[in-house]
Amino acid sequence: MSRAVYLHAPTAFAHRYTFHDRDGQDAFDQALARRVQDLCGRSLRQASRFIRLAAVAALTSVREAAPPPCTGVYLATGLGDQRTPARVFAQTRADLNAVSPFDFVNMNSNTAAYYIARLASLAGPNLTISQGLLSFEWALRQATIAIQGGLDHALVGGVDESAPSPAELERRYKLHPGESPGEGSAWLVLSTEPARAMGRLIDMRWLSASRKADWRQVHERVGALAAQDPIFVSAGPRVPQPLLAELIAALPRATPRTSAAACGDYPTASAFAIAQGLRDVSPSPATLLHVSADDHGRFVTMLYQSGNTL
Amino acid sequence: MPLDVRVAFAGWHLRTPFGPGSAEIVRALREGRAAPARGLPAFPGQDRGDLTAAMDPADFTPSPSGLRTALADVARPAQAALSMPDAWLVVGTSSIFFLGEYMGSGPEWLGSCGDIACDLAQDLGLERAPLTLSTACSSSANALLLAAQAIAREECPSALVTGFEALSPIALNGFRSLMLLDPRGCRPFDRHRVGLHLGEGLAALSLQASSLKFQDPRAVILGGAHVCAAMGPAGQAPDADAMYAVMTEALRTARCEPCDIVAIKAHGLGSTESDEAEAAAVRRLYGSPPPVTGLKGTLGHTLGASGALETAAFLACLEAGFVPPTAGFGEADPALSMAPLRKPLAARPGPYQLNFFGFGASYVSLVVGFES
Repeated sequence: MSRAVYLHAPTAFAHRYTFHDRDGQDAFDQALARRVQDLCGRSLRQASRFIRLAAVAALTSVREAAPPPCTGVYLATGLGDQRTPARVFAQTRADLNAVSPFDFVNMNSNTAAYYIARLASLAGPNLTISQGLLSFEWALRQATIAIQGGLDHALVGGVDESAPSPAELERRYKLHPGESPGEGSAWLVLSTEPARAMGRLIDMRWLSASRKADWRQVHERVGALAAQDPIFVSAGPRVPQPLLAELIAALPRATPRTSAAACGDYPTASAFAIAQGLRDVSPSPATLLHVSADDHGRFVTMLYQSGNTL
Repeated sequence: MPLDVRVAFAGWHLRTPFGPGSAEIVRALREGRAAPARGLPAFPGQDRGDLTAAMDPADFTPSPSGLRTALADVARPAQAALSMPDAWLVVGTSSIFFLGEYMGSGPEWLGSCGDIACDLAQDLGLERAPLTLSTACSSSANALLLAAQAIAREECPSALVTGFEALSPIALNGFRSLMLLDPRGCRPFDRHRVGLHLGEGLAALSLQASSLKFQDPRAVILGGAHVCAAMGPAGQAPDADAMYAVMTEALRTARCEPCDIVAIKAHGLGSTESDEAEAAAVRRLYGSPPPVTGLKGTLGHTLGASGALETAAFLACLEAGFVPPTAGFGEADPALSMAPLRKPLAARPGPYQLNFFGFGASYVSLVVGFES
């Protein structure tokens, strides 16, 4: 990368979703509403829950980093809004004249990104990316490419909402053994500005499991970069444990970090892991490696550093 | 971002209610015909008579379980035109939320957009990780722009861009709730226009660095731009200033002046506000604009697929020797100070500007060079 990419204002807002815990769901929704009110000065009543979930963490990052108006917005989501389409579908079944225009507009794929741009007064590029388990990684990549091409700031986030019922979750995102439902919204501001940065993006690679030479390069890169700093390794959903174990074993000082207990499992949970990792570790200097995987044998590694001398 | 590497269209293929391939849609566009009516899936016991733009059954649109096959069938001919078949697949669709249960006659979940892109990449033998963009009605236009920029950066030698959209009761009733549907169909820039009608289709276009081809390319992407008009004064209402900005930036990246443009393929939505805003933007940029046309009178508004589908259809028309007239247009609106083409116009080599505007204030404009 010819232009250094610094990471600012990581914000991670998520929770494990328990379908039968109505009180827990209500508590989360109330917390969401309070934070929206605090950030926006209003309730965003006409926005969907998915939009509010996206906005609350995005606007927290914006409040902290104060990026300029020409900032781009890159929103990643694996499954999008889970509730509004179901409501619109039910409206249509009940009565052809009963579809709420607000619901229909809200359920459009890029409405959340539009809301964030409007609320934060951001007039830069605005993309919504949905590529399953690698949605957030693609959003990061596209934002980084835009920065290499001249954009100075980008707000990048991963948002996924839990399906409203176990049956719907089973249909849309079959949990693997050991996984638990979750939802969340996690954002970073990428910038060419080092002042007040909490981290720096060093490298992103797309790999396959079979190309061992590529993985060796990742090990070597981490080792060369880390010097005496601690190394933390985190993983997104569905990264095979043997691969992760092999990676950690190849990095003598590596400490695994897990976040699934806090956020559950959902397609853009990598955003939570990366943002939370940076928030937890910074300002201490460290090298962080995050590994993501999709269900088709593709992997992405993201290498970044934290510290106060970036 | 100016495209320093020439990005050529190696091929395109599409499937519309007029049938697979280009021949029938080109004929329909030349004649200014509207799309054949198509039956909508009905919910049991529900009267379809109230639905706008109904409908006789027509042989189009696969069942939900056939989408994967249909997409591969459309993509393969475009892929075959590439010098190197291992392209980067970029998909543009607004259908994250509409898939499956909303497309067919009953609940059936097809998978997320990302799953569909991965399945398609697998079916086509593409090794690179695919990418799906979902920016409402500008989705596949954004996909074309992103792919072209990646080739121009020499990040990949070629790309396959697809767009797909199918009629759904959700979309139909959603647009009806917004009072954007016209029972007479889309009438771009017409004095009596009141809205749009929905269309459906699949399209695939293959792009590659033109240096890879031994023969001169038929068409190239000269430039393009994307703008999100989130800061417009009227929220998501059509924003003439943002349309002007994206068109201007597209010309700048293409290193074209307004006087260079042979014709404009407008977004031409057929709604009162959108056409008014687009006409204002065109007048502001061009002063005295070149010929303007819109394809939605024939194709309908194909939402996220419109970028890929309208570009492919437009290029097919240029290759057939004409710029298509604007189906649905009858009487000029004095307020617009602009009337689109009523008859086919002979195509000639040169740059053409193509506009695509979507919900979420997502605007894309492409400049395409027709070479022969």
